[in-house]
Amino acid sequence: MKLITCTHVRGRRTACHIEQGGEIFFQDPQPPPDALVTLDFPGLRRLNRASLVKWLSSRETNRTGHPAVPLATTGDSAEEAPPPLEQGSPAPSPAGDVAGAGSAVGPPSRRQIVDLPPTCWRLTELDDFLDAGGWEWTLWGVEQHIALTEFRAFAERWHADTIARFRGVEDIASAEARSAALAPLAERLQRVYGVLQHAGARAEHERMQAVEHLDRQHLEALRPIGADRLKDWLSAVEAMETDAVRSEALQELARYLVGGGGPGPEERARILRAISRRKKLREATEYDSDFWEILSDHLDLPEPARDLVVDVTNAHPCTVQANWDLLRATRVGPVAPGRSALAVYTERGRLRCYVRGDRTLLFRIRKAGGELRKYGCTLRIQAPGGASLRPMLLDIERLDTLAHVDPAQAVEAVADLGLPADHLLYRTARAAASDHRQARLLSDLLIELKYGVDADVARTLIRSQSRTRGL
Amino acid sequence: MPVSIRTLKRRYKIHLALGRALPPHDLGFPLPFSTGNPLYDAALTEKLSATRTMSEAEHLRRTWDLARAATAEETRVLALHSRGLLNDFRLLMALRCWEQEDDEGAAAFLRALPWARRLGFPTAVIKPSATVFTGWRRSLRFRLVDEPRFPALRELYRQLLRQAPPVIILKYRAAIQEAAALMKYRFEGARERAIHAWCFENQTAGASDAGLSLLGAYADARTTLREPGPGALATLLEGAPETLPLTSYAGLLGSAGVHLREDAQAAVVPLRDYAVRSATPVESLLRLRQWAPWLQERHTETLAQTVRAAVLEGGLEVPFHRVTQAYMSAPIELRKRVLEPLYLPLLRHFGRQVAGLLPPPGPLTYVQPGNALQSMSLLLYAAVASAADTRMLLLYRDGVEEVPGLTLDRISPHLADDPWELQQWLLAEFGGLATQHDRHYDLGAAARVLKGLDPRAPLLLNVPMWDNEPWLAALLPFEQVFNLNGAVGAPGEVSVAQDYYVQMHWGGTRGAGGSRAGADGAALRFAELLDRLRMFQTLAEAPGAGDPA
Repeated sequence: MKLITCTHVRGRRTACHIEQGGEIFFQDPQPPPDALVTLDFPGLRRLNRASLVKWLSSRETNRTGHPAVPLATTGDSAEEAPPPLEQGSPAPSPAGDVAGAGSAVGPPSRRQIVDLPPTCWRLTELDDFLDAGGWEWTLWGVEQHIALTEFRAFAERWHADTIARFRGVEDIASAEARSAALAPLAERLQRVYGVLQHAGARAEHERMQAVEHLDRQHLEALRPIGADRLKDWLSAVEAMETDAVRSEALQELARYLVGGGGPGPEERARILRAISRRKKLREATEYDSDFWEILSDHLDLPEPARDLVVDVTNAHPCTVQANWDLLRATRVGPVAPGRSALAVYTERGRLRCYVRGDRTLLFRIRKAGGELRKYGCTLRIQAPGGASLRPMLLDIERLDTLAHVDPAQAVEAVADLGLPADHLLYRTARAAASDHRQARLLSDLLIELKYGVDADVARTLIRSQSRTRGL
Repeated sequence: MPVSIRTLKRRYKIHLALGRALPPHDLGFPLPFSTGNPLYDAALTEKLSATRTMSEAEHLRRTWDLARAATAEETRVLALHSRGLLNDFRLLMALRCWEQEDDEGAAAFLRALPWARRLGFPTAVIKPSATVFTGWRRSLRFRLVDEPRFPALRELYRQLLRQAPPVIILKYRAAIQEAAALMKYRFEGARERAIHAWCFENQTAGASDAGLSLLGAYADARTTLREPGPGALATLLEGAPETLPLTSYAGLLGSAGVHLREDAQAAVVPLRDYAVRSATPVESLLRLRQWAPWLQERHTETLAQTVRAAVLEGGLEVPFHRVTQAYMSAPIELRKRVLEPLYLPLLRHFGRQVAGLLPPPGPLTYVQPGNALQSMSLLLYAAVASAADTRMLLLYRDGVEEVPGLTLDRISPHLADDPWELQQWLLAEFGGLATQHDRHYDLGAAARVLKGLDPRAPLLLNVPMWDNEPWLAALLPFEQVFNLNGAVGAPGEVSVAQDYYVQMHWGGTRGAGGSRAGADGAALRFAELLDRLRMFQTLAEAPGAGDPA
């Protein structure tokens, strides 16, 4: 049996998975981790832990004439393990007593660790994909492990042979014989061209490795960062092709900007503006939390705006993050990274303005009749009935709360509906004064009578708007 | 014999069907238990915060109605066990007693409340929205108690102010200011006048003479930090007899732009030393990760001593999961340093605590798959095993095995291992067990083994299986089954994974197969569950509880 698998690290040892066998390890010298290895077990028919141990044991016994087998056992716990309490199969061999001592072989101890000798594995070559098991799933990522020259050599070796096999099948006249020949051809084609399919990915992989190397060389040549070389630095970083190297360079720049020998606040702001004007640099830093974490305590935000009229009807409560939005957006009040704010967006979804505050501010504005002077600006919320549902949802949330804590105050909100005194609403309100279960019903009636919306739908919308449960 | 788990669950199902109990997704503690009395149940599991289908207001209304309907006997029972109630309910019962002019009862519940809530009691009486709600709801005007009894309220407050230590006055200025303003409290005497100056004028004149020198120390620190600066502050604090609380100290530093994480910060060494000295035991744990970059050995010794003294000697209760989360979130180097002096003593203490909470008889039997070695659940087992009689059963595809107990001494050296070191130890300790990925287990053998156990003794399961007949049949006789995963369905069984019941209620058993936190997360909350269970069992036998009529 021949099998391709991928190695990984476990407990600082190299291991690999085998189906039905779990993890197996390697004796020294161990293969490298994250490598493709080909396991070779000639004569083994079925691969699972017990059969593998048996195969290894008999192989070593046959070869050396001694019962010693290259299987590791564990430490103390394996030796001390008491007999099993209950089991459905023959007792396992105690640790240490491995399938050796001649031909009598039992199943391995549960605690046994299987270590493959070096003779059972080697690094995978592309030709292994033609006849090994496990080839399908190990093809994914093969370009990470095999050099481009190997792909070229593989193509040279097998392309002509594969064409010949094509012709061989085409030449078969009998339908029955042809259908029988197509099965092995199908598998052959899948294996050969399955491998070659990854050649392009390998070419790209090697290209990116070379590009990264060049980018790092360019970066090294630009060091140290200095005020006189900043423009060149930005241009060079913008021209880089490797995202990781570009990100490193920009974080290095951020550290320079906030460091002891770096520029002053005005120059720092100018440099940040310069970065934001370059599309690649702006995009590279848009979601780079490390870049902004370096800068967050040193962002020189201009004074907040005054004498504006801001419509916060559709504003979203949020926690302000240090990013380009914060530098671009208008700020009303003491807006800073980490603080709560209401984010106002344009119709196209672009952040326009931050207003210091949270949903409590929205309710204050609503309570003030839809307009409130704060932070030197006028904050507005549209009246219910307009294009946005938000004002209505604010009112619904207030009614929903009052229905539970003060039913009498809640029903005042529908006085304008002119309902008769014996209306179900008023009867429910009277009952709600002493029965909390009626309060929920009261809330539903109030919402549906006044606003015509399903109360549960409204509550779901309200919850989705609340940034935290407490708001 | 305490009330059994199956009885608590049966009562819950009946009450749920009758509309007297809330579904799990609307409980602060989603446990399917009922004492038989909705008031007692709410006091143990219902919080005044929004849940899946109920708002804060709805919870408030429901719990207040229950509190208002409490009989004198029920009130007495809850007062007797006030330490085990949720904070929200302690406050509501205090309000209820106040409404009934039962000042002694109100005082009993107030004594069980943290100081912030105690000092906010008048606010809760006069303007409850400011106390029980957050956000915009704090401005709503309504009353729970119709008649505040202002004279008696002021007299109560006088007593509270007299009892409040200076550090409380310093920390909860806003609460005092709000309460005093609402009831138009008249500050009398030197001490109260000093409190008034502090709360309303931000001044500390007369504070030292009135036995509130801590307020003066804070004001001096604030002034010195502004001018001359951090260096002078460090000198001032070094010689001060009073230690500022960490929250106040950190607030001063933050507002002055002083960051302890910056090595270049002026006088940073003495400022850091002071921060460590001023931290309470809980703060010491919570700040481990934040302070890790600069903690020195002398700091860790101080932190460890603070925590040990408070928890081991002083009886301070800190939840196991909080301690472990704080420890595990710290960098590995710091974990190595605080393992012996801080974490291990707490682990042993928790082991004793859990052992004390486990209802008899023993031993506790821990059952888990042999190839699913999860560090937290192993740690839980080892901690309990250090204080109680335990046994461990491992399940395999071909049988069941009892293994020698994993002791705390064996696992503890590895609590500060990096992932690779931990894997190495697991390989050395358990061999190839964890390398086998077979998820089939001999449940028939397991069932036969369970038949040999005392069904009254507790079982702790870390077995991720459900919808399995032999397994369920084996568990049927057991009275105390604690499952770190989703429940199998035995009547004497409860899932420790708190969100299991929430998920099950919404998605059925298939949707609730595994808790989001996993068995490891559930293991951290085992002590919390046992504590709730004990409270349920206690109140289930109290007057007013019992099977529904």
